[in-house]
Amino acid sequence: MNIVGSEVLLVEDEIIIGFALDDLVSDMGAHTTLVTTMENAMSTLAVRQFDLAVLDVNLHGELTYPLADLLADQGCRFIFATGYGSVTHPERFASIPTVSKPYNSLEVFNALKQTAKS
Amino acid sequence: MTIDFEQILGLSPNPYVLLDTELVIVWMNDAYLRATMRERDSIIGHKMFDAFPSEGESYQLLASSFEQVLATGEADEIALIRYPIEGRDGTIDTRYWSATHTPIYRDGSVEFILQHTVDVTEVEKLRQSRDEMGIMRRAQSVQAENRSLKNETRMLVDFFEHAPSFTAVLIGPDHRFGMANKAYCGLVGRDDLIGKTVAEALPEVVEQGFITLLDNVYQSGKPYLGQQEKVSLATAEGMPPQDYVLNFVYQPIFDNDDKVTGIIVQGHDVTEEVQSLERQGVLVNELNHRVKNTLAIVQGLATQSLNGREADQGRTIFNARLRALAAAHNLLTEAYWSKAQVEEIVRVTSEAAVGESIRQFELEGDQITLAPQAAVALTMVIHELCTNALKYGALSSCNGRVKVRWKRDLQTTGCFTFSWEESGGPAVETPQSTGFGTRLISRGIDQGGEDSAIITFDPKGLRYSMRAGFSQQ
Repeated sequence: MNIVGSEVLLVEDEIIIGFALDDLVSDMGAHTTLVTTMENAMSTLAVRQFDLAVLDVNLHGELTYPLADLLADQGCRFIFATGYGSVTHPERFASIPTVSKPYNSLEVFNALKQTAKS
Repeated sequence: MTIDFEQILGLSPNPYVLLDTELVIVWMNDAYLRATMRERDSIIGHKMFDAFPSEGESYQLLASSFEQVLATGEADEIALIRYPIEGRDGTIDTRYWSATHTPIYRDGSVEFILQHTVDVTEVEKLRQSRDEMGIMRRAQSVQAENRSLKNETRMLVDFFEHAPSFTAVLIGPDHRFGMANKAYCGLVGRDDLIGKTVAEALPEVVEQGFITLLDNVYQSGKPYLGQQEKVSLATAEGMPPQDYVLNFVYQPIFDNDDKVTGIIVQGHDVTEEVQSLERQGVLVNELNHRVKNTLAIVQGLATQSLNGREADQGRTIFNARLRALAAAHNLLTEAYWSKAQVEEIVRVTSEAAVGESIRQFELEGDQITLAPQAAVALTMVIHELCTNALKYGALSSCNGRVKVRWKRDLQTTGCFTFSWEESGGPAVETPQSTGFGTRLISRGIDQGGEDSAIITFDPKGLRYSMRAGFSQQ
């Protein structure tokens, strides 16, 4: 799948990080939608489908794995972003690419490319 | 049949005297009166040491024996005591005694001391003639030694009983409790241990492998050192077992033939230390997360500030935003990163951004507490509103005013509304393009929804209103 022209959902609770991520993914040629809460992410997914997604693992203290399950069901590829040094995902997400904050454009690009190919 | 002990003791050929706890003579038998050569009426009701004045070593010996009985509640013996008695004719007769002091209890406490004395003067005189004063000295030294050994043993038992570390002595191959101190009984939550085997007294530890460990120590004669070992103990009946972390040693006890006869169990409860280390680990991980997140925010601010601007201008904007972020962190640090007051956030952030122009502000609102993430977000929103007002809005003119209000939302519990109204500045125009400031402000601070924040570019002055959740802790 090509990143250029794809629909990408961005889930990030820190709005400033979210803006930076938004710009960074937009610059790759993707169409982005930024949400900052679990609730908004769920309601957005109820009406729209995405090709790719970047999920902050910890959203206001809540883990986003249920969201990841929903995305997987919809056939959407995704990557995780985290501020924790090392994070052990549940078994089913062990192979999902994960970028560590603060990340740069290349890291996000490579992770998205990897997940888009798989 | 009722036995009249008073009659029996009264008729006994052995001298008996009964003292109360003040050492007042309350009763004695005829044998005592014969031995001391006194009349009953002349001594009854008198204190022992008034009735029989004594000084020096004899007094010490006797007095300390009484004290011992009163302090310990146990019988005490004096093997040999020199006690001069005044005869009926006024002559002083030096006599030697052997005495036993037995506590007599009533309702659990010592009420009387029964003194049973044996006049050993004749025996002593015989000895003296054989060995002058030597035997007396020897007997005294043995007596002194006995007393100091007894004291030492008592001290050790006391020490054992009150030691902060838990200690128990297990006897025999089936590990029967011989002793268990207060700390040990407290740890296992029961005190009926003595005489029982470990398996009987603490059935829950059998499956946890502790009996096997004890068996190994007993058979091998090698001590076992337990470091941070988990043990589950049923501390109270009917309650779920509680987990402890213990550091302990099983130390074998050997007899004279180097055969193991028992095991000393001694150790500390380190549950709290281990838990606090674990908590520290969680905190360090949380701090790491926070730092990484903050770095990512700084990175985002840098990108947003520097993009498409002259380097100098971009740097100024970036530095100002960084200062706002740092101010929010300062506020949060004061409250151990748990919360911050909206009022303080508004005041501190505005002051930092506008300096002297703070006089043009009117701040008013309810007492509202924000969680760290919302506090940082509100800080950044206020910072952007301030810089915009300085550049294009009410603060670009000295007649301009900024009214900031925050109130609990009466319709939605846990939510508050925040409003920012500018007036008296130059006519406001709707900006052509959306910069970082407008973009940030229009997202609100935690809802992220379309309608949680509204910016109105009213020509008379910019108006902004927002709704967000606050911390209800």
